[in-house]
Formats: sequence, structure tokens, C-alpha cells
Amino acid sequence: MSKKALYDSLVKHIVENQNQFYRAAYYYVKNREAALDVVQNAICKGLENYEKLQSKEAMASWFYRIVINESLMYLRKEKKYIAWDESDNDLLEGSYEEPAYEPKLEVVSKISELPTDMQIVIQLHFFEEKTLKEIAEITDTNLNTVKSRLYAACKKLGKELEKEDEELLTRYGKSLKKAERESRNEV
Amino acid sequence: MKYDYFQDEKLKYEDIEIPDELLLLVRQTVAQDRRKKASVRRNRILRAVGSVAAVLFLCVAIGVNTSYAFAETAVKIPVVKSIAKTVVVRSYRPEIIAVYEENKSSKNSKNNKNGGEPEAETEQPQPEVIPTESGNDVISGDVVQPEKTEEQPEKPVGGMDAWKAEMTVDKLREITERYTPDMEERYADAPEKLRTILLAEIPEKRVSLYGYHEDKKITGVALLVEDSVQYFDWNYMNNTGKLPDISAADVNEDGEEEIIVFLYNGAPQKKEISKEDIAEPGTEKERNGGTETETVSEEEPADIKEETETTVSDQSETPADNAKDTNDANDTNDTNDTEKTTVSGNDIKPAEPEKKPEPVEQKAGEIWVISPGEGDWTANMLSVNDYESQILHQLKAEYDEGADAVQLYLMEEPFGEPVKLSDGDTGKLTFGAINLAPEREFVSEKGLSLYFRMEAAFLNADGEEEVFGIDRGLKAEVCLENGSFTIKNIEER
Repeated sequence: MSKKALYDSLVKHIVENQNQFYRAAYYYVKNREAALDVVQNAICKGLENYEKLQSKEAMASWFYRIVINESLMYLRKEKKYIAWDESDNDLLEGSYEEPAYEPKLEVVSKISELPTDMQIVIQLHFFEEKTLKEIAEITDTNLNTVKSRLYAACKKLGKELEKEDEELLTRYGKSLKKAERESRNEV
Repeated sequence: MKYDYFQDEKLKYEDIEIPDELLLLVRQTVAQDRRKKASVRRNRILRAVGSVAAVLFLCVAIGVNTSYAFAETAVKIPVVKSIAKTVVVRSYRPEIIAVYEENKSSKNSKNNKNGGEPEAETEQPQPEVIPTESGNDVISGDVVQPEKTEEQPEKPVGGMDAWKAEMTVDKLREITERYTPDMEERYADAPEKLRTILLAEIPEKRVSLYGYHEDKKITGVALLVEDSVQYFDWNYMNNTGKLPDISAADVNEDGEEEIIVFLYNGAPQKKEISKEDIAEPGTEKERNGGTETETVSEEEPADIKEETETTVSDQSETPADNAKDTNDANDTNDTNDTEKTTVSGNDIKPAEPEKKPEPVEQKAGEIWVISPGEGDWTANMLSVNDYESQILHQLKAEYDEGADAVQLYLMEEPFGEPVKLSDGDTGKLTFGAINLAPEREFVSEKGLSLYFRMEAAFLNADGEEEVFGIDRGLKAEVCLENGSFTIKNIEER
């Protein structure tokens, strides 16, 4: 495939899946403007480095990874800013989470307490419905690593829910156990 | 759905509101990237072109200052020529600039001829045209004075001036077919091919003579010597169509060869020793039939001398002669003063005075001796009439009535076999004159020599002339000293 065709394919892919990228970005940064910035930066980076794409088949995973990396990079910058200026903590916290997506359920807040790599696996697996193989491609990690992360995330999340509320555990426990089994079997 | 857990969270995730500006943002970002890429590509191309141009410039700069041949070629290549002209700094810079100017003027002429719009370069000044003392123009190859050419009112649009401007060395060299009258018919549909005709050439010396030939005009020649060209406002042909001859010889013995051009540009004519030039009977000793004949060189009648001098003077004042040339022509008369016209023979059957042929005033031709050199060229002209007059002074004719034959004497020595009439004509014809026939030629072997055919003219009872050829011709050497011609060493051919 020529470079121009690859570039055009990437542009087409971005335009067609822009909502998905925005949601992913928003999931991490939880801010509308920040999510837009993240998407814009991701597009810029993707189009700048499209020549590094090996094939058109890898395009979806490759660009999703850019979006996630940009989101995490944004979060790291935000954290750095928060740590540097703790006096504005309330203000920053306020701007970090929008009222439009306030987690109503405890499980979501528990997910956000997980390590980032586990959060990504949970988000991609449960919300984006990506397969473990796709997650491995997106996160540029080994498939077994993805499975172990998912297993660990589910187990940790189950324990946290168990501590908090019996009802929540009853509600989500099944799903977590199922995911645990799946990941164990696949491993 | 593959998994049925986290359904509420998943629904919430999918319900994340998509901002309206997202689509615009995405499209703007993509468009911005496209512009950026185009700009990068453009800059890359510009950088590449710039690099190549820089390398080429360096190559040209080094090349033109290393090799004359390279520089000469470079100034003829479009685009490169301006750079080459500018960057050449070696000692041959003037020559290279001359080549550049010459090439440019040639191109301009081509554009004008094709009726196309002249290029920007056509506004550049034309090669310098230096008028010479003789009224001829020289294109100087090594002098470039743009400010001078700016003063030229405007470029000639036609005629000989345009021809001069157009016919540069390269253009002239393209013409290799020598002119023949049949070309008029061959190129009847393409008169532009006859605008410049090759009149004569000496290939081994790279000397060629071209004529301006437009609308049957026969005035204007271009003399090309190696890579220099000079234009002359000469009539190069008469109605006989005999083309000029050129030769190279060291006429003035300065160690360098001059270019000699013989123009048959006058009306064909005869130069004659008429019967008036023959001494009266009784003053000469008869050589034949027991009649004593003596020469009268010391007792030349005054009227004969006067007539001879008058003839020379008249010839130099013929209307066809250019006034500028008369000085050169008259200089030749100096040698005539010392010459004595010695005519012997008994005019036994003198013709009637009224039948004396009128002297022909029209010139027969011109010999030009050109000394090519730097800048202006010197050109000296010798009128055919002048040198023939000088030659005639060396001749005498003697009519032998008994033998009915005419004997010529050159420098007091018999010259050629007597011209004898056939038996049938004996007693019927009267000796009239010895002519230098119209068919003259010149040969440059060592110096400049002139050959003449001679003929004896007799008059019949009706006064009509009958001509008998003489089996020998004359050869005369021409010397050029201090701008003056001298005829010497006249001898049998």
C-alpha cells in the first residue's frame, strides 16, 4: 500500500471512529475539553507518524494506543501539576471530574482506584468489548500479561466490593468471577 | 454481547455525550496536518532544487574558469549562459563575453525572423558596431560597451542594416552552398534562403565572402575571417553574374596575409591601345619588309601622354567609384608618371578619326585588399581601370603592313606571336586596337598577380570591329605599399 493510501485510510478511520476515541479519552480524563485536546493531540501524532504503521490491519489498535497514551500523558501532567501546587487541590479536583460523568456507582470509583494498567484492561474489556488479543495489541503488551492483569484487576475489584457492600458484590461478583475464570482458562 | 457484566457502566460509558465540535475539530486537525505536510514537501523540494542549483552553479563557475572550451560552450546554453558570463573571471573573459553577445544577437535575429515575441534577453544591447573610415562596419568581438549600444535609436527592422545585425558568424557559417544563378529558380518559393549567398571562400583559411541578396539587391557583403566578420557596402556583382573571387596573400609584405577580394562589379569593357596610340609613320623604324622602325618612347607626343593621364584620372572619378576610395585609387597614379607609353608601328591604314572608339568611363571592377586584425580592419581598393591603365603604359603595338599582322611589345620586347589576318581578310580590315579583354582573372600565388587575356581589334569597311584573340596573356604583380598600389613586373603569362 502506498503511503498516500495508508494516510487516507488512517484519516478515514479517525473520522469514522472519532466518537469512540473521544469516549476513551473522556473515560480517562473525565473532562470534555481535556478529552477534545487529547483526541486532537492523538490525531496529530497519528498523522505525523503514520509511516510507522506496518499495515492497514494494525491501524485500529495502533491509533487506539495513541489515544490511550495521550490520555495517560494528560493525566500524568495533571497529577504533576496537582503535586506541584497542592493549595489549588480543590479547584483542580473540581475541574478534573465533570458533573456530567460523576460516578454514581461505587464500582466505578473502585475501578478508578486500580492501577492504570488494570484500569485500561477493565475499560477495554468491559466497556469497549475488546478481546484480550486486541487489548494486547492496543497496550503493546504480551497476551499473557493482559490476562494476568485482567485476572488481578477482577480479583482486586471483587475484594474491594466485598469489603464495601454485600449487594454490590452480589451484583458484580458474578461478572468478576466469570471474567476471572475466562482469563484463567485462556492462560 | 460477549459479556453481560458491567452492563450499567457500559451503558453509561456509551452514553458519554459527544461534543458537536468533535467532528469539526477532527476535520480541522486533519486539514491542518495536510497543509503542514504539503508545506514540508514543498520545502523539501525547494531545498533539493536549491542544492542542485548550488552544485550546478559551482560546477559552472569552476568549469568556465578552468577551460575556455567549456566557457565558450556554456555561454551558448540557455539559462546557464548568463551565469557563465557572470562568473568567468579568467583572462579570456572578453572573448567569452563576445561569444555570449554574438550568440544572443543570433538568437534575437532568429526570433525576429520567426515573427515571435523576442525574449527578455532581446532587450540586451546588440554587439557593438564600429563604423570604419571606409564606411564599413565591424562587429567587434572583444569590445563590449553596453552604454554605447543603448544610445542606438532602435534596432533596424529590415534591409541591409537588419541583415548585418542578423548575420552573425554562426549564421553565416551555416551557409555552405555557393551561389549559382540556378538557385534563383530553385529557391523561388523560399527567397529567405537567398537572402545571404555564399560568393566565395577559402575553406582552408576559414575565409568566406557572403553577399546580401534581397529583392535582387547586390550591394553589401560580409567578409568572414575565422570568427570575425566585417561588413562592406560593396556592389559585389555586375550583370554578367560573375561572382567575386577571394584570395589570401601577403601583398604588403608585412609577414601577414591579407585577404584580396576581386569584384567584377563594373560593366564589362575593353581597355585598348587604339590606333591613336600608334606613332605616326616615319617616326619609327620598320621592323619588317625593310622598313626601319624605331620607338618613340622619348619623343612621345604630348597629346598621347595627356590622353593617358586623363584616362586614369577619369577612371578614378567614375560615378560608380566610391568617393572614399578615390584616394587609394589615385595613389596608383604616382607610378604612372614615370612610365612612358611607347607605341610603335606603321599605321599604314589609319582609320578615320571619327571612328575612334569612345573611351569607356565605366569601371570594370575593384580589387580590395583587407587586413583583418583586432577591432577595425583596414581596406584598400584598387580600381581595375587604374591598374589596367598602368599596364597599358607598358605595352605597344606595331602593325606590319607587309605581313598584315600586329606585333605587341611589352617593355620594348616582342610579346606573343603576331596577330595575323587570314588571307581572306588581308587588305579588307584595318587595325584598330589591342584590347585587354573583359575576361580578367587574378591569381594570388606569391603576392597578388593579375592575368589578362588580350585581343586585337580590326575594323572592316563598314567600321565594325572584328576581334582576333592573342594567344598570350599578361601577368602583372600588384604591391601594396603604405596604402598605395603599385603594378610591377608585367610579363608574359
